[in-house]
Amino acid sequence: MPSIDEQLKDRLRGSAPRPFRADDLVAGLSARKRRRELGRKAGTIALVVCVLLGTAGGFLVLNRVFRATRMPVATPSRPIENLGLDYPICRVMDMPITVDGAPGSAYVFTREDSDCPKPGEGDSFVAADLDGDGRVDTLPVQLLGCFSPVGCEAFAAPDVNSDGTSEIAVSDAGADGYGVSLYAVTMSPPAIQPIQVADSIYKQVRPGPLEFAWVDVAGHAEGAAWHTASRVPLLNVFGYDKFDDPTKVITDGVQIVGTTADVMGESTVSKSLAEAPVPGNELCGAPLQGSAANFPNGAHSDQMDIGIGNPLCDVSKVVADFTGDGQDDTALVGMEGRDGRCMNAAEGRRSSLWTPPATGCPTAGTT
Amino acid sequence: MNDGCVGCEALAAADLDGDGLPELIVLHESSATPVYELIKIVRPGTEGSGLVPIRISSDVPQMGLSANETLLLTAGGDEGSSFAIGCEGPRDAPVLVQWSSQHPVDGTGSDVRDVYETKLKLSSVTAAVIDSQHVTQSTSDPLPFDPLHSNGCGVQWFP
Repeated sequence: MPSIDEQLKDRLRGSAPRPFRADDLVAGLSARKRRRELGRKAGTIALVVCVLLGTAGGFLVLNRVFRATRMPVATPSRPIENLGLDYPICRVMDMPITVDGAPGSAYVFTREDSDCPKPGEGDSFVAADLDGDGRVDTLPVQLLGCFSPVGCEAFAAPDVNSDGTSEIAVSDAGADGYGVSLYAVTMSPPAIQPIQVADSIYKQVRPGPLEFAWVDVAGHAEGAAWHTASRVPLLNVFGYDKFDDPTKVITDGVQIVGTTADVMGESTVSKSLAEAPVPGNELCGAPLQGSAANFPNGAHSDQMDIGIGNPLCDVSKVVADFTGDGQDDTALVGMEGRDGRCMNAAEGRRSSLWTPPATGCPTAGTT
Repeated sequence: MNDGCVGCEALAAADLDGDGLPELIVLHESSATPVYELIKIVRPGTEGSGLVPIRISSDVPQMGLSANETLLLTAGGDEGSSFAIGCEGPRDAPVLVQWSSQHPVDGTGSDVRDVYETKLKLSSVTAAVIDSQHVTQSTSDPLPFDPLHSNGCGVQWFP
């Protein structure tokens, strides 16, 4: 196992493959700033910072702009025999997708021979209805590696890059979890194509079809989460072992444009197992389908009721005498949940709160 | 510059302006180049009370900041760039130092890096640049700062 220094050096070396112009640092930072500003203009969700100073009874709030995200539109699928295909099909799974902002459906199905093959057997395909008429408009793409006893399933249909069209995630189930492949929908001609990683020197995402695992077992976890700070939201593919606590969480940031995925960089961050990301029951805000829907909610249990109407989730804290009154204050930074529950990071709002631990926030409590 | 709080965490409390009270340091964006925001807590009953992000008083192009924007400090490295955060001076008059370097990864100019050193003095809710240096050096020469280790003012900024 390389030392931490070696890992860091590798990370620094590995994160520098993309050339800058022959300008100086100012140009690079300006570009980064523009990306952030574009992201800021894109959204409408308010980033809230609230402060409760227990010793003074003060409650102070700052509002900031946080980028919004578009969610796939859920529509019921319309049953048309064999989805308009000229052969019989079975084991049809469908999930709603959005195509240029309009509703459609993605299907995973198996071609029926004389009888319907068992799950994981026979030929399985993914296809999409792009106009919501109940007929698939794309040529079915055959799915390989569909193992028994579960076989390939529709996994989720998030709009990962917020371009108005869903990406289609398909899973094949293994002994410990799922292998997930991402497909892009293209319109001219109507097609589903595997998203390809052109190049990657990183650990979590390798060149070829974009694939990642969805696993949460005794010694290991892998999954993906949304990173929406950049102009084009990233898919953060993460993985870590659970043998040590804290552990090293390796995360690759993947930017998807059309059918191409670029791995923007990789980070290795030390986190306690309690704080490490977990593969939950949603992918980039889209609920998991099929048997994967049984994954527990990925929200951390470290949530608090601080009396703001929603739980404060994924809470971190720093204790210090911020006010100089001789009493320790506690700074809490967390994600404000919605509808009474903790949600995907991109859906929530970030809050901060200060309260002295001697009295605590009046309504605070760990759930 | 304050949108897009990603992987935010309360990192540390440290007296960065020498007034005897700690400021809150929040990890604003978690990545190989972690970005930090500094927040001053001004007690209720005093002017400007509340949770106040510390702002920069003048344009600092080498840090990508314009006057009156929230001060953001960066550590680590990516895209051919390296950063470090440090602290100089006595405890009651600390000076924050932001180092950064940049060079094209390949092609013209890839053998020369720009290195910036920006020294900042914090006072209440404002940060002012008190010194700024820009040098160029060969990429074969060692950096004048260590991007793999950023310590300063009692804070472990990186890793």
